[in-house]
Amino acid sequence: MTATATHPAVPATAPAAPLVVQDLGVGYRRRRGTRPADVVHGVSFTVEAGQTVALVGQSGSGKSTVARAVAGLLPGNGAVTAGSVHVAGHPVSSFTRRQWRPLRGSALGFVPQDPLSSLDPLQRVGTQLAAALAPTGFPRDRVAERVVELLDHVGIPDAAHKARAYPHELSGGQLQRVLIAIAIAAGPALLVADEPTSALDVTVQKRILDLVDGLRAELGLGVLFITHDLALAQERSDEVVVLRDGVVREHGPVRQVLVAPRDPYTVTLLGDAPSSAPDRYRDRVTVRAAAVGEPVVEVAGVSKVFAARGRGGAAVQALDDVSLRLSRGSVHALVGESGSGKTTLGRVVAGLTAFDAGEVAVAGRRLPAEPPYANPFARRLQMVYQNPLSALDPRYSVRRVLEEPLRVHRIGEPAQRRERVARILDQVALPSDVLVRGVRELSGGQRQRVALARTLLLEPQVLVLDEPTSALDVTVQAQIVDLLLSLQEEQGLSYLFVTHDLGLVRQVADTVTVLQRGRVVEQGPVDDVFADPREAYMRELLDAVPRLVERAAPVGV
Amino acid sequence: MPERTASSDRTASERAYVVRRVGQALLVIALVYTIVFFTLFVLPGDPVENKLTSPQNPLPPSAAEALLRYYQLDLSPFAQFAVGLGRLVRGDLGFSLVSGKPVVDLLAQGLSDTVVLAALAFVLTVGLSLAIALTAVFAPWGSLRSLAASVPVLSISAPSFLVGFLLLTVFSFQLGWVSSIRDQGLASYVLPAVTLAIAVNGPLSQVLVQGLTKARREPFVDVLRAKGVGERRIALGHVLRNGAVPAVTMLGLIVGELFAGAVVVETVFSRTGLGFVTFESVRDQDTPVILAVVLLVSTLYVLVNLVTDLLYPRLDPRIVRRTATGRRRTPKAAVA
Amino acid sequence: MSTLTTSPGPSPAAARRPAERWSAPPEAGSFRALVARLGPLDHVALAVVAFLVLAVVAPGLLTSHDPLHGDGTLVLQAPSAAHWFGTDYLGRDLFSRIVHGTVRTLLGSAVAVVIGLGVGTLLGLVAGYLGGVVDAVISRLVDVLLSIPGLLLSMVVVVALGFGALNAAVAVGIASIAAFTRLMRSEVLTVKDLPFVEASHHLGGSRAHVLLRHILPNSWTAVLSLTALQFGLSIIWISSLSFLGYGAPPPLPEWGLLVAEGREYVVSSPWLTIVPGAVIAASVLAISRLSRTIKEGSAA
Repeated sequence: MTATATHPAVPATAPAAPLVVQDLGVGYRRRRGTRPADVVHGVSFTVEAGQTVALVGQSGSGKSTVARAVAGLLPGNGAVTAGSVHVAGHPVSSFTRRQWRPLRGSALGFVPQDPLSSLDPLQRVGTQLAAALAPTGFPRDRVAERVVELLDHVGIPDAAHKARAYPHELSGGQLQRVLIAIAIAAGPALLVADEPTSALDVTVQKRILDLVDGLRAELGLGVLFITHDLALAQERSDEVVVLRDGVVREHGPVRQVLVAPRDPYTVTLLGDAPSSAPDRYRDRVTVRAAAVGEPVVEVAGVSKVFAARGRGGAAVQALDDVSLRLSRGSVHALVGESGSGKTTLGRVVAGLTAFDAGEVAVAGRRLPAEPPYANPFARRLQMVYQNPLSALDPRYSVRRVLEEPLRVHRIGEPAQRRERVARILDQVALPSDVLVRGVRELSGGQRQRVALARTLLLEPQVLVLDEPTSALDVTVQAQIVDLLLSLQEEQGLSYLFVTHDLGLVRQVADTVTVLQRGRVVEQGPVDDVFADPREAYMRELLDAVPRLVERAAPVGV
Repeated sequence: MPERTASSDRTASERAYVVRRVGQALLVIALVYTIVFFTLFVLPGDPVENKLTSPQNPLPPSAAEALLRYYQLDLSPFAQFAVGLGRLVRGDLGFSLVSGKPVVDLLAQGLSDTVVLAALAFVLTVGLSLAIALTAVFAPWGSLRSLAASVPVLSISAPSFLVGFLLLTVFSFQLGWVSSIRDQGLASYVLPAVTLAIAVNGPLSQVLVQGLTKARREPFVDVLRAKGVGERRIALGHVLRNGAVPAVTMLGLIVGELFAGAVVVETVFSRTGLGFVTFESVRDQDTPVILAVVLLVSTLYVLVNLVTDLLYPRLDPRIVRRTATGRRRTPKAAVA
Repeated sequence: MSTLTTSPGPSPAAARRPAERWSAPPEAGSFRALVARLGPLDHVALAVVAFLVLAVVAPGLLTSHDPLHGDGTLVLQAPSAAHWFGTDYLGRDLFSRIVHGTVRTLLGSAVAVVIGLGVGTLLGLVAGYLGGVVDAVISRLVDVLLSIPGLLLSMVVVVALGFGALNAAVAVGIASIAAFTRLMRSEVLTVKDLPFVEASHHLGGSRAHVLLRHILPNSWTAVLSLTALQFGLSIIWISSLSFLGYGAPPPLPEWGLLVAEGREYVVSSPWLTIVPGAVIAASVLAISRLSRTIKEGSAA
């Protein structure tokens, strides 16, 4: 614990630290008039000027609650139940909304999680930025000029023109820049960034975080950076606070926490992050590489154009002459940013999206360009969806979900079906009592196991995995990846792995295809592509991946 | 580079969109005429002839004779339809089978009174719905919010004749504030207009409550608060604006319901507007008048919808792209 | 102003939800759980509905007065212990007439809802599922029907069919088809594109399998809640039609008709119009309240 020296009670001869949090407890009332139930307990840390402190934790750890308590943005049923928060010396934890108002913007700027819905869609971007200047008493005749200056400062090209745009006319990255401009407009001492890049592509993420970093150095801001990504925390912060179940598990300078973690939870987190352990599955992958067989999926010269959507919309070339082959028993990764066509290609191979030109063959049989409604390839190839909650009928129990493929294909008698369902549950390591539960009552990881089990009941040779872990926390993600790899070994499955996570690709894939705007820009064995990227695009992608591994010593798990 | 062409493309495609929407509106009106014509003039089997030759019809035989000739009942139904359509285009809505007067005159007689009533009721409806929704979403006390949120259900459940008679009993008979018989100018419109507004505001209030509730949970509210915008400004300048956009699509529905509701309300308050004309024509099965009333009301509905559709992009800049498919996005709660 | 939002709680319905979630056992859909969730207002609503059911099934149990023949000496009596809701211009007991009139109003509404629900959902299902030309034709038809206010449309139909209790019910049913069609169509369109539906035909499920096992069951909830709403609305429309004199003919009692009969005496005996009107409102309220409670219960 480093920075408890600046106690707020001590009259500040030097200016007060941007943020001092002491023994903070936060709770939510379940019902009107009841006592709040605490979800955050005894959290303490300090953010000094010019310093970034990362608050790291998985979903439900309370990290966002702390951020909201600090920023005075707790929902109506939330309240600070213990301890104190001082922002630039002001005891804000006891403030009412009215007391808070003069501090907003000028003491604390807030950068939200989802840039796409964080600006009023009905108001021009510049107007919304101007509103952030109003409380500072900025001279009115200079506001328009200052708005353009600020937009320019946060790296928005053609700022004068963009100030007149509506939010839907800007990209996610640009919106986040606008929001950062709003946050710094009134010259705050502290910036609270609540997972500011979790909705953005990795290259955009890097540029946004570079911007925040630059502003911190330039303006001497204190930054409270909320993230679930340890690698990001490591790369971007001076101090790390690891939170779990509302309690601080570890707190200290970034080197100390990530190089020599003392808490077992931090150790697990580090081990489960794909980018921190690229060789985690190395022995398995090499074993496989030796046994790679004939191609089981062959894609040759596939193109796909999505017709123009609505008035003024342009047709989109989603895939442009794409070819790849997936060898039996191997893992082929399909990577690229959003809009690169990787998901479209996965869906084409799965027979869910029609394609315009080229050929796709699965296990030697050609796929029709216009797929029929009922999938004739169901027993050869299955797809696992990104979000298991939406891929499972919310009205179904787990038993019904698992019996559906058997019923559809008239496999076995009822007794045999039950037996097979029981067996598959074992394979995906789920207890049999989940059978009677509704899919909505399961955790995210359990749901993905059920979805996986459903596809495996048809004994396919190939699985198309569409970002199967991106909706999950890092430890759950690691468990699902473990499961996928053991299933592959046991059953000789081949995977087409669609993902944006290069760390994961490095861990599990044998070969990789990198897509950019529908075209293949790199293809080949993972080691070759990663070690010697030929294209600038691939180098940029690799660059943008936060690198935990270079500075932190390998962590054995 | 694509700046100029893109914007001129946009005006061109916008013009095409306006043309298409106007065409759609005309099509709906034409189909209303067609469907109602065949329902009223053909389906029941010679209703016009039966009506005109009925001994109970007050119309003198000579006039009935003339009307029989006018309606050319010896033609096939489709030929009759064509004749009627041709006359409609020329502004001839036919003649009442009961009084023999031109339908246009009958409508014109009642229309002005009902338009004033409906306009007053429209203003009251919008005001009432806004008040209910703002209270239901922003009132500082939970119990007041729940109370306000339950008002729309109450007003949907109360038949308008109950509301009308209650208001009559209290304000005319008990308190004697407004006469139930004498015409007192604008004052005479107040009770019927309030009745209509209560009958009609329920769905609009519900959509507004939903819209405001959703809008105030949007992440942009946090950002507004974080940059120091005051709560009143957030509520009225941002949440209300965003939350009220879906309710705009309901204005056509509201106008239609006001004219339909006028049938019951004018009967309760013994007024002689368009609603009363409708009441009489349905009672007397005076089909040309009914057809004209339905055509008038649905034209109003279609027109208001057309105008709101065309103005929508001004309320919501995102719409420019979305309206492309031309389908109206009416909120679900508006189904009634 | 900070007072505007000092406790930005969710809407009343949503505010109830957390409590439900905590108190509800895992088998939240069960009847026991539902009963446990009933509030005082639900009990009142339950009592009203029970009364309505009894009035339909066995009106004689609720009142001993003859609904058709009155005591000529007790004309236009105000409500009293002997005549709870007073008497009409022929000395007939109003309470008895309301009780005996229940069956005509509610049966009429049931007929209307069955027509609207049956025809409407079928059209909506076909339009949403098949798409293309079929959808275009049905959608245009729905646009047309929706452009005529429901009450006016039912008047048109009742003129074509002729006046009468059953015809009024059929007319209201026809007038409510479009609302069901539109809702069912939009539900099917929404559900049809959800990933779990795609997942089902990706597993090899046929069109029929996907339609019956996934699309229909998931579209149904919204339609059912519209059904309850439309049942209440049908009560109001049918009684409005008979209030205007297009529905059930006298002397048999019907709620809207009772209001119309009482209209002549509205100055001297206001209860003759207000009490039947209030009964209509109470019935519609009770039905919508219960349907909402059940919906929220099954959604929890």
